[in-house]
Amino acid sequence: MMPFANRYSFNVDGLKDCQATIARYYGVEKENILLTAGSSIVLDFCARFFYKTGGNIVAADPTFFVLPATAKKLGLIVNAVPIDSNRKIDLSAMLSTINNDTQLVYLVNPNNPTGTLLKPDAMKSFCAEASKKSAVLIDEAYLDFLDAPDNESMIPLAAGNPNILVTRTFSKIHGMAGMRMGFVISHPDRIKQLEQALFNESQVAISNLTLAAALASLQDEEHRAYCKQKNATSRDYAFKSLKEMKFDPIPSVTNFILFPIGNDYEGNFADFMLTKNIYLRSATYFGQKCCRVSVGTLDEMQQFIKVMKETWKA
Amino acid sequence: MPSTINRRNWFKQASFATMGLGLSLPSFANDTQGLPTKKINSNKGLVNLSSNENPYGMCPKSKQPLLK
Ligand SMILES: Cc1ncc(COP(=O)(O)O)c(C=O)c1O
Repeated sequence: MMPFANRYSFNVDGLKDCQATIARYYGVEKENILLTAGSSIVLDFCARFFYKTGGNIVAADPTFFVLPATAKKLGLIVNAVPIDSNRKIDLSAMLSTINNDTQLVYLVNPNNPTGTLLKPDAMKSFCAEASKKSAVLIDEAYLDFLDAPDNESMIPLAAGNPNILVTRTFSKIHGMAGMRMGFVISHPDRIKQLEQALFNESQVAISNLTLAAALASLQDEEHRAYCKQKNATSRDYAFKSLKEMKFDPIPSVTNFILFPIGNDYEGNFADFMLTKNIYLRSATYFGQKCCRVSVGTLDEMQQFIKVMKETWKA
Repeated sequence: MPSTINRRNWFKQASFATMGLGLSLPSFANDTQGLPTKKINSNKGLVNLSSNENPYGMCPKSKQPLLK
C-alpha cells in the first residue's frame, strides 16, 4: 500500500470497495455500514447525533465512558442504571428506565469494565423491546473474545431496524488499536442520516494502510483464534491467582478483569502500582474501590501477580 | 487481604453512589478514568495493562500488504 500513498482508496485496486467487503463479511450490505477511525469517535458522534434539548440517555453504571461522557457534556441527562448483584447489566431495569425523553440507550456487551456478558436471547428481546421506544446502540467491542453461541451479534437486527445500531472495533481482537478502524451498522436509512451528519464517503476518512490491514485481518481467522486462546490462558491464570490471594475478581469473558480491592485501601492504587512499573486503572464502582487490569501476555500477568503478592499484605 | 471497612471512606463512597442516578455516572466522573495521576516518563520496562489492548499485535498477514 505504501506505493499508493498518493492515491485515494477508491482509486487503489483491492481497496475500491472496502465498505462493501467489510459489510459482506458481516452478512450485511454496503448501505448498512459506516466506517470510522476506531469506534470511540462514532460513540461520541452518536451522543451528538441523538442530542435533543431535554432529552436523556440510558446507560449501565458502570460502563464504557465515551458515549455517556459526551452526552453529559452536551447537557443530556444520563440515566445510570446500576448493574445487578451478579455484576451484569440489568436489562429489565434498563427497559423500565426508558421514558418519553429517552433519545438513546447505550449497551456494551460484553460490558467494560465488568467483563460480563449478556446472552444473545436476552439481548435480542431487549433490542426488540427497547427499540420500540428509543434508539439503541449495542457496543460489541469485545464480542470477538467469545465462542459460539455466546458470540452472536446483534448486527442482523441492526441491519433491519433504524432504531438499532451496532458498533465494532478492530482495536481489540484484531490487535489494531493504533491503526484506528471501526464501524457502525444499522438500517440504510439510519446510516444515510449518520453519513449526512458526519461524512458521506466514510471510507475516505480511513487511511489506505488501515483499510488494507483491516481487510487482511478479517481474512485471518487463525490469528484471532490464536489471540483468543492466549488471552484466555493469561486471564485464567490471573483470575485464579487473584482468587488464591482472597480477592473476588468478577469472572470475565473479555481481555480485562475487574476486582474490588477493599474500601479501606488508602490512597490511589493505580499510582501505587505505577511505582512498581505496573500500569493499570483503579476507580470506585458500585460503591467499591476496584482495580481494572487488562489481560496481557502470560509473562506480563505473572509480573503483575508477583507485584501483588509482594506488596499486598494480608 | 483487608476485610474491615473504614467507616469514613465507606460513608464517602455511599453518598457518592446515591447521588449517581440521573446526575452523574461515577464511572466517568473523572477524566483520567482511573489511570494513575502521576505522569509516566518512559514506557521502558513498563507493564502496560491499562487500555485493553491486544499484546499479540496485528496479524502477520496484515503487515504484508502494507509494504507492497
Ligand atoms: C466498550 C468499548 N467500546 C469502544 C472502545 C473504543 O475503542 P476504539 O476507539 O479503539 O475502537 C473501547 C476501548 O477500550 C471499549 O472498551
